[in-house]
Amino acid sequence: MDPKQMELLRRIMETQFITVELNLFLDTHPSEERALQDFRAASRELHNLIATYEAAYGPLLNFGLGEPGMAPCWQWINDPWPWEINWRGKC
Amino acid sequence: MRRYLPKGNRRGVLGFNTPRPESQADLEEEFEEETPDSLQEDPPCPEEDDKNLAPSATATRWPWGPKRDPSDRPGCPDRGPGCPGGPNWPPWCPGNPPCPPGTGPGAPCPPRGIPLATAWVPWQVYNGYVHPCEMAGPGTIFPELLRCPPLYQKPPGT
Amino acid sequence: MWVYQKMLQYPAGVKACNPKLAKSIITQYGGPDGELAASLRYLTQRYTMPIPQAKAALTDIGTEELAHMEIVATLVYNLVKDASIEDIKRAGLDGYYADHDKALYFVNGDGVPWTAAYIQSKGDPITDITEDMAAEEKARSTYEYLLQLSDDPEVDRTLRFLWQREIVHFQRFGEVLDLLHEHYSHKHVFEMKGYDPAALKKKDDDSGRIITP
Repeated sequence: MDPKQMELLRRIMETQFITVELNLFLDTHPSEERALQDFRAASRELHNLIATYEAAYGPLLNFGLGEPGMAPCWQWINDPWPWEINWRGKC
Repeated sequence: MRRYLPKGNRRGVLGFNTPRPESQADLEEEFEEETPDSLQEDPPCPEEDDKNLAPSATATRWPWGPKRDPSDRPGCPDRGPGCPGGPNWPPWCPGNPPCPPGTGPGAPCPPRGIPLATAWVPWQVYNGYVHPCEMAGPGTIFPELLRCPPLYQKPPGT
Repeated sequence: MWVYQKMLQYPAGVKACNPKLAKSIITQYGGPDGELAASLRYLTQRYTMPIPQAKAALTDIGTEELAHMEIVATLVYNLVKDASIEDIKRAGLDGYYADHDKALYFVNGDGVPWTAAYIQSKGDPITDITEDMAAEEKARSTYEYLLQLSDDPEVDRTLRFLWQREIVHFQRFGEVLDLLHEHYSHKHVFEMKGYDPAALKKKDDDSGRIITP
């Protein structure tokens, strides 16, 4: 996997981790206004990052929820799959 | 067995600080009979002895002693719930974030009104979040929830 | 319904091949306190929860546990994939290799296969959430023991991530429990089969008071 793709994927992982944590928090604190605003901001950033990634490297979600892009072949099956990626170190 | 409640607001750790009544008359003067509505159901005691109400020095039968206020909780730890930074914090942990208000050492114990036999976890108050890259450890964006393993230290030698 | 996102929740990795460590870590894949047990437990308990916060929390946490299962699988896969037959024999994985080669399978650290007896879905929301809190603590302890066994820094940081997640999940379930208490303290009409309040009332002969349990 080329470094640019890995870097973009890492940023998506971090932003999505923020949205996942805020999602869990809001499940039990549904009326927490500040958390909701933070969630909206993080979610917007996540959508932008994912759109950038999918335009270049193919869909991240299956079943039509990810952007298929205009590449001439079906990109969903492309390697590497997540358990094959070689990460090293922290942020 | 009849239940008695102490007059006024009697406190004392396990009743040891309160002077023992000298006689039955003293006892009846100290304690007044409570009204039926507030009577709670007694679990059946194996050795009911209605006649001898004056305790001996070694009496351990529950509920002997003045009824304690629910907020008097000698078993409640000094360290408030939900915040790291107590005396048992492992020494290898990075600098602790400040505790949210109402938690941390010396914070009050869980509020009364929680009935017995109920599990209770303190509520998280939203104080914003920290980007995962800037956190002192992986796994959460809330500094209040950040911990270092092991969560509880085993006694030395185990 | 579920979709799959082609991405791990955390950049899990290993530093070096270590099938002996994989033999221990696989317990969080198919063991009693592992991620499969956790996710199936939560996803199956959510159907009978009375309040929307509980249904949402169980769904989301259950889905996240599936993601953690994937992370554990990644660790085991990477620890074993470059092992030679000698490494595998030295690690005591002969029996596992004979049945599964280097593939993943739902077993615990000793090869005991996963069973639905590891989980429970009692129907009583308080019981279920209390079980979920216990499950999170069990998983946390298991990660602590795995951290003791591990000598691989990359595996350590991944285990530390998963360990911290268990603590956060415990907090969430604790809050759901509080919401359930609040739900039950209001006068909701509910029915328990076989419960007949009238038949359970009895008079106290001495005082004439009615005692109800």
